[in-house]
Amino acid sequence: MYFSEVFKLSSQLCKFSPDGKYLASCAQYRLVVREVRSLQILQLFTCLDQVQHLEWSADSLFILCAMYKRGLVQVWSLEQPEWHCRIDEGSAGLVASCWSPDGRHILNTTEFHLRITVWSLCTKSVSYIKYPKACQQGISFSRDGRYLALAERRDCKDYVSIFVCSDWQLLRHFDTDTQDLAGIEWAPNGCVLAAWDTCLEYKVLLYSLDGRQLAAYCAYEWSLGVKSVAWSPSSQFLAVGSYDGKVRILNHVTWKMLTEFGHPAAISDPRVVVYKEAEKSARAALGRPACPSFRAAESKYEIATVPVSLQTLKPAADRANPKIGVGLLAFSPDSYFLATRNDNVPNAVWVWDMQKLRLFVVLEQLGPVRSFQWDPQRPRLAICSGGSKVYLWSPAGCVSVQVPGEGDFQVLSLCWCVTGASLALLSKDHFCLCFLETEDKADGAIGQLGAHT
Amino acid sequence: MGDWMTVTDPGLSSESKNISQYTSETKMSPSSLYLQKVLCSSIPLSKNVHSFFSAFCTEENIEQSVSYLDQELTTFGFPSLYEESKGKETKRELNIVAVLNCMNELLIRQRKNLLAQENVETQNLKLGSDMDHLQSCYAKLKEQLETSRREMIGLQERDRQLQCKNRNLHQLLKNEKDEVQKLQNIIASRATQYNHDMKRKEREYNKLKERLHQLVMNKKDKRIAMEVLNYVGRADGKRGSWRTDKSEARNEDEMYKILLNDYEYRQKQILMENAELKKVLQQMKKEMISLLSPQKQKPIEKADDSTGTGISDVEEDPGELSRESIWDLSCETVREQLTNSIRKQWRILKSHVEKLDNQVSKVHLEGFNDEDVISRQDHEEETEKLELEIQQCKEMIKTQQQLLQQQLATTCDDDTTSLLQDCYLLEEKERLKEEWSLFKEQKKNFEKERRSFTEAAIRLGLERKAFEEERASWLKQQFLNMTTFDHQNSENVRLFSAFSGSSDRDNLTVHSRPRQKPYRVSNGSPICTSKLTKSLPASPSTSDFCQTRSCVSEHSSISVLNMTPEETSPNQVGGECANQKWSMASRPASQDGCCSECSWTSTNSHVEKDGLP
Repeated sequence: MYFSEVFKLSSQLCKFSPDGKYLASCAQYRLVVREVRSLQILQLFTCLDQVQHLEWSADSLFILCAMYKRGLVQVWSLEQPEWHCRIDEGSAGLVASCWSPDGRHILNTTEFHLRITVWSLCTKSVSYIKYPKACQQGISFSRDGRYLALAERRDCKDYVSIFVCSDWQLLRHFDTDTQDLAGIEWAPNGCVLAAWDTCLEYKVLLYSLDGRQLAAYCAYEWSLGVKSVAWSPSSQFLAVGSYDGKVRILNHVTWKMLTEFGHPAAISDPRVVVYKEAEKSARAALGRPACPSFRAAESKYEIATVPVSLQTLKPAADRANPKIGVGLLAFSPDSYFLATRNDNVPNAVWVWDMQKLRLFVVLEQLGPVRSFQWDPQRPRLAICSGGSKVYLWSPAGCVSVQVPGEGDFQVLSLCWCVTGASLALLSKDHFCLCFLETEDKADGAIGQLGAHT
Repeated sequence: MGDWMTVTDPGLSSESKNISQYTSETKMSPSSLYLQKVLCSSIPLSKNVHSFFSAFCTEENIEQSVSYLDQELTTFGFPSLYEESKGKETKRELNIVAVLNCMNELLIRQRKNLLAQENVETQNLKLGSDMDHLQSCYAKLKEQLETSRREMIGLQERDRQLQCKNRNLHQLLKNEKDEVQKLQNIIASRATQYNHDMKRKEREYNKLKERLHQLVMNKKDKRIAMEVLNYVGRADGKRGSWRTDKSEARNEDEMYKILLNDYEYRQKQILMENAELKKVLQQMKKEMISLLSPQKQKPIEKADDSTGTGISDVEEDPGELSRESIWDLSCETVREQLTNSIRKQWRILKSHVEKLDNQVSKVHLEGFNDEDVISRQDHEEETEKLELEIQQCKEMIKTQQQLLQQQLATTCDDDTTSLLQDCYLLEEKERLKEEWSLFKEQKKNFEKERRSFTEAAIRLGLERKAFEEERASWLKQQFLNMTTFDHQNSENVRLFSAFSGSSDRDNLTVHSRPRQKPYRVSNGSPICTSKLTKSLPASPSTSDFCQTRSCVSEHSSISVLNMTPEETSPNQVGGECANQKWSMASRPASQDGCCSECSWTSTNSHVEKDGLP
């Protein structure tokens, strides 16, 4: 494992290109594009203001930089550095901007969700979509890029519109049986759309591409409901995390619950491996005198003997968005594992075995888990908890790695390169790359990279 | 229970007390009884006995007192104190005998009365104590009754309290329920209110949005624009198409295509899964049939209920199995058949397994109940037996080992031990073998010689005896001739002669055969000896030969005995035998008839030796 040097960054804007070759990062108003393997700067673009949003087009040819404050979007081309495009939303304002899957259209959401403007880079045509709903996840493109599902609100009723992305034609428009639709998401196969209600009510609805309602699922009533939803990459499972601290797995045939995963603070199943992060003693650091003394203590994982009780957080009941329930959910790319975080046990990551449908591993960190992400290629989970360490878990075991460099590098977020060979670690105003050895890559290249660190 | 005890205990104790009283009374000595009587009777009387008597009768009024007493006594039915007078005028005389009889009678009565009084008193006492006891019992019971009554009241009170509490709790529960209901109603009303408000707000918001939209969007905002250096081509290289009905239809088609593909894919998967499951089912069925059919035969004989269906099923199945292609059609009837048959089979299997389970459990139980005990006893007995056997065997082995060791110790011959130990080289072995064979031959010869010698010795012994007899007869004749004898002497001689003659006859009859042999042996023996001398010049037997021959006449038995150890020494067992023979032969050594025995032993030993290597 090698680490790159630390680069400047603002607003945690750092993205790998979808083909995994380039890395775009923003420092204030500057956009820097680097090659992932050598980290050499390929292009340097200067935007009109501090960039608030950064997005690669699906074909890795264009980069979108949004400056919400000024209602501006600037698009840069990697192939033609001199090419430029500027979209001004004017007085309507701008709150969100994203690429369409074809990489030739930009969807801008105006302030107050008045409308969505679809700008084309190919033609002069501009499309408007009225009544978009302001919600958690109101826009969802199908994986193959053919369809766009959009949550809408008209006359106090929720609707979903399905558009064909190639010509922005409305394909289906149907109302959903929800109080206040909170989110929609396509299944990876693009044939089923999951829609869930606001947190006040537990309701998950499943719609076919042609607008038929396939199923509705409600686990309980009179309590806070769905908090997070995730499809398995195989489209076989729909994991629904809720405020009662449980994940319910729905199957794709009957859309009934297969099983529910509770997240108790006490783990007593002897088959479950509990990795507990523990601070390494100072003696272990003596072997490396180059280590600056002020660096935070290194840590390692210890296998705790069950039964184990995890640290829990008492949520404030009188405040909105209480820290309870399963807030993070992610399936491994092979659908074999599901990683979850229960928000009132903030230090722990649960990894569930989806073949046996049972808890597999629990990782208890020293700090609260900020985010985790699966390696896109293999069942390998990267976790960060706001400290100077990055944690990696795979079925073989887990490691805690100290991020080298001067000062305290607090990893707030991370993202994987699509190849799985590198991992970007983002702190408040810096980022660095972490290269992982892979069997298929030549050692020489990595060795050279290692020299950079 | 405690109450019962307290009630019953005193009774028992009182009874025992009574008994003790009785016993004490019965045990009382007559003297003490007497004393008691005296005491009892004298206490009221003793003080004024004298005065009473003195007051009653004085010197003067004897007559009157007597007459008074007479009167009194007659009224009590006693005979008169006076003698019966013949004449009325004559004064009646006092009859002393009657007086004494009366007194005696009175005294007896007095005593009786005293006894009766005493009895009555003791009984009175007894009854009094009984009464006391009963009274105490009564008091106790009364107390108990009181306490239990109090307890009952307490319990009733508690019951009442609990009921009260229960009522309160019920009330509380009801209140809570009401409150829950109320709260739920409130929640529901609030929810509706909230929804209503939300809707109102949202409407307002929408209106505002609409207004804003009109204001912002309709006003031709110059700023809303896109500046592009040049339009880029589409990713797929196509040009943008117009939105037409055609494109709409195409989109629809595409959507349905996608859906169809998905469904087809899923159907395929399900079909595959189905096929797999069917395969598994079929296999299961086959296995079940093969598993169950051999077992079916037995239950049929037992006339089991489930077998009927089982047989029919088994009969059905081959036909079904032969139509395997039908499975692929997966039509509903076949499916039903399959599932039904599987279900049947499964039921049979289940019942069978259950039966087996029951049997097992039964066997278990039985085993635990009685069989096990017996078997354990048997087992223990068996083990004891076996242990005994083992010990015996061990002892046997030990003794055998000891014997072997003894034998090994007794063997002094180097050759045999070396042979046994087998530590010689091959050449030496060869040589030794040759020697061994030679030795064997020699042994045989020796045997022969010995036999001949013994025979010769026997013959010589016989000859000697005959000669001695002859001599005796000759001496006798000479003596007879020389002197005249009286009858006694002649008788003695006759006796002697008769004895000798009879013995001679016996010997003759016994050794009639050996008598003929010596000639043959004597003819053959020189060859033997010559052979021997050739092969074994240092052999002691040859040198002894002459000696033995010479002294055979005198000590035939000894000569035989002298030879035997030498011959048998190469072999241990032979040596042993020789030892035995020695002991056997040594006893009759001095007797004349020993020769026959010796010969027998020698032959016997020879036979034994032949069996050996």
